[in-house]
Amino acid sequence: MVAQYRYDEIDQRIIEERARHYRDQTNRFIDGKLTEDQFRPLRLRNGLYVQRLAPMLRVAIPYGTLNSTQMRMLAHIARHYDKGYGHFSTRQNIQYNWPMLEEVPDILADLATVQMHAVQTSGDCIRNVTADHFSGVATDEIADARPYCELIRQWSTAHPEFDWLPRKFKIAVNGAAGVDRTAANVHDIGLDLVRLSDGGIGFDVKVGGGLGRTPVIGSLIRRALPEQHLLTYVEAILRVYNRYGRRDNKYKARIKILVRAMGPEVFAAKVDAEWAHLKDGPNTVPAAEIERIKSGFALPALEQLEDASSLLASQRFNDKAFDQWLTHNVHPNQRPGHATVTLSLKPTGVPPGDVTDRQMDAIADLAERYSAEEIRVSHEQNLVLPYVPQRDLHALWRALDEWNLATANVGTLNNIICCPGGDFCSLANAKSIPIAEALQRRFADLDELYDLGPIDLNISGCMNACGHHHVGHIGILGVDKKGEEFYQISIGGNAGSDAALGEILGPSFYSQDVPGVISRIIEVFVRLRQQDETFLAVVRRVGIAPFKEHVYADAA
Amino acid sequence: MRMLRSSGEVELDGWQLVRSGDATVDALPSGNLLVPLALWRSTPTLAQTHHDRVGVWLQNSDEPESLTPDVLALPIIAVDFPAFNDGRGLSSGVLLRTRMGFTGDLRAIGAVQLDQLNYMCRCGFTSFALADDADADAMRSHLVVMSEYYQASATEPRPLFRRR
Repeated sequence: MVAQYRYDEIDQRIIEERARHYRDQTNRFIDGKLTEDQFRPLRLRNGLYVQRLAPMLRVAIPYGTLNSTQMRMLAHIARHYDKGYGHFSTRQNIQYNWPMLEEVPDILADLATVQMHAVQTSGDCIRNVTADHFSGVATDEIADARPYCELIRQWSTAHPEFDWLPRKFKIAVNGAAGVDRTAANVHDIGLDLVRLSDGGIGFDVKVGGGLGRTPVIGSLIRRALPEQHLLTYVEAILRVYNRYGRRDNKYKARIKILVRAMGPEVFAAKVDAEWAHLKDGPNTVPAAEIERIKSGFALPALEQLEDASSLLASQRFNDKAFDQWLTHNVHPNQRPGHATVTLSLKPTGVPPGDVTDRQMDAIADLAERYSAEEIRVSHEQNLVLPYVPQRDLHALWRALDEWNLATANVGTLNNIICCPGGDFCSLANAKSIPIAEALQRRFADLDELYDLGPIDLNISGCMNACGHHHVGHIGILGVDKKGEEFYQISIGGNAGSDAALGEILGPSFYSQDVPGVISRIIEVFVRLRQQDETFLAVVRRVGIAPFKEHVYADAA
Repeated sequence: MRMLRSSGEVELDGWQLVRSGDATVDALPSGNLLVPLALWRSTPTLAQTHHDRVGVWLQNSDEPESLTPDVLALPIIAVDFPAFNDGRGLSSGVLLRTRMGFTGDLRAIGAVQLDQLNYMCRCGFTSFALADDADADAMRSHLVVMSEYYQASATEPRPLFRRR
């Protein structure tokens, strides 16, 4: 039994009917009964963008959790309907770059057979609710956030009132204590799970975070919201947004603009006033419903294992490459004798986050064999196997290495978050993938890379910031200057619980100069760091001036 | 002109929409009229002086909470949708039904398209004007597009988790 929300007959019917309804809409469009303008919002709400080269379909992977059967279906779709690969996104979804518009209803029908869908992955509606990719296994976790993500997913699916919002709406739920691997601070709603004084579960609620043209860290508007009030309170936020969010200007329509215009205190008061009508009403979640959803996520009956650190110690002693992989790509697990493994989708020369159909099939097999059939997608565009016995790590590593999924660069500069960029996306100002590759080649020496410590380097091809450049320790933004591709560099951003937006260093650079600029930034860091200070710590201590000075030093 | 009820009937539309903000009391046509809220408010005797019935239409920025009992007692209130992807009026519908207890006919006017009908119905709207060239059968078949929904709505106060 896989540890996931268990679909019943009603859940299944909902996604099947939705897929059939979209088929009808597609047929009406093809028959000329719907104009492009009329069809666009309908296809967006079923995941279909029209891009530079071809339509792009974004398939939902709710809170980044999927099983081997579902991964095999994603492989089938890549193979049968696309060009043999998919791209895992920063919101834990998968994107296909080459489907045919008229075949998308068939794709959705296939997905429904394994309880998957593309509902509301685009459009001005509530999107995929994301979670920590280590949910349920992290040693620093208060509780698994994913049942609450599922609760919100159901509530937001085809919501009668909130499917036509001023703009897209993104929610993240963080279940860890004092650390945040979900970037909740830059979401429209960010929920931090907390333990209440009575021992129950609650949420600190932040609103109005976001990236894009006007990056903002979210504002805390309510502390310790007990879990049974989660839906009524979120409903109150959405209603205030749906009523008062701007609709006159697409670039001023996110909730972050409304929160800033009203001020967080006034916004919170409006939410509370609305919530007063909803609190304790029918949308209050009974404990039985929370239990019902949680029961699906119950950890599988894993083997009771002893800690195998001494086995690993001897294995790593004899194999430097295994040692490096263990250090960077393997993480502690709540269960004794088990580990959590990140599959790096960032080998040099592959667009970050891209996986072939054959790799997907291999990953499905490996998950079945080593990880209770379960796989996670991380917002860093990697995959995770959450339940690997320590004694199997060496065998798993050998298998992953054969499939080019074991590059030992997680947590390093080369674990680049990178949007598809100008190669694929019609919104982009510049290409991003070639920049990522050039940087990975520049920093190919693993010993040097490891010496630099943890550095988040994020690349976005345009201001929409799908690559999360604002919250990268180093951020790179593609800009269009006089019709050419230039790149603006920022430093000091951070995506975690102490989130911060990066500061721009100065004028932008030609693409061929970017690796050199990053090298200079690294030179300053290495020169100024004290003992094992991280890059981010150094930037926070010395400010951007030393970096700026060296980067622009021999500017003509 | 015809209209479509959320229950599926297609009927002659008994209501004339008085669109303009500069409509004055003296220049109103005869017949049952849907007048702008501002006109209703500035002419307290309108219902008495107009020979036929009067209803009111709201802009989607008119707050349902501001409506007085005389408006809420009307046989019909309409909410204008300035663009089909502008969902603000959906909240108006929900609030009129659930918070303000409006029990009359709730009509969606303006940019009302086939694929928005099911949302509007679930937000409490009960009638839609049909353009002369509208395909009434197609519209009727789009009033309900799914057999089940997860969440509560103006027409079903219990979420699925209370009905499972």
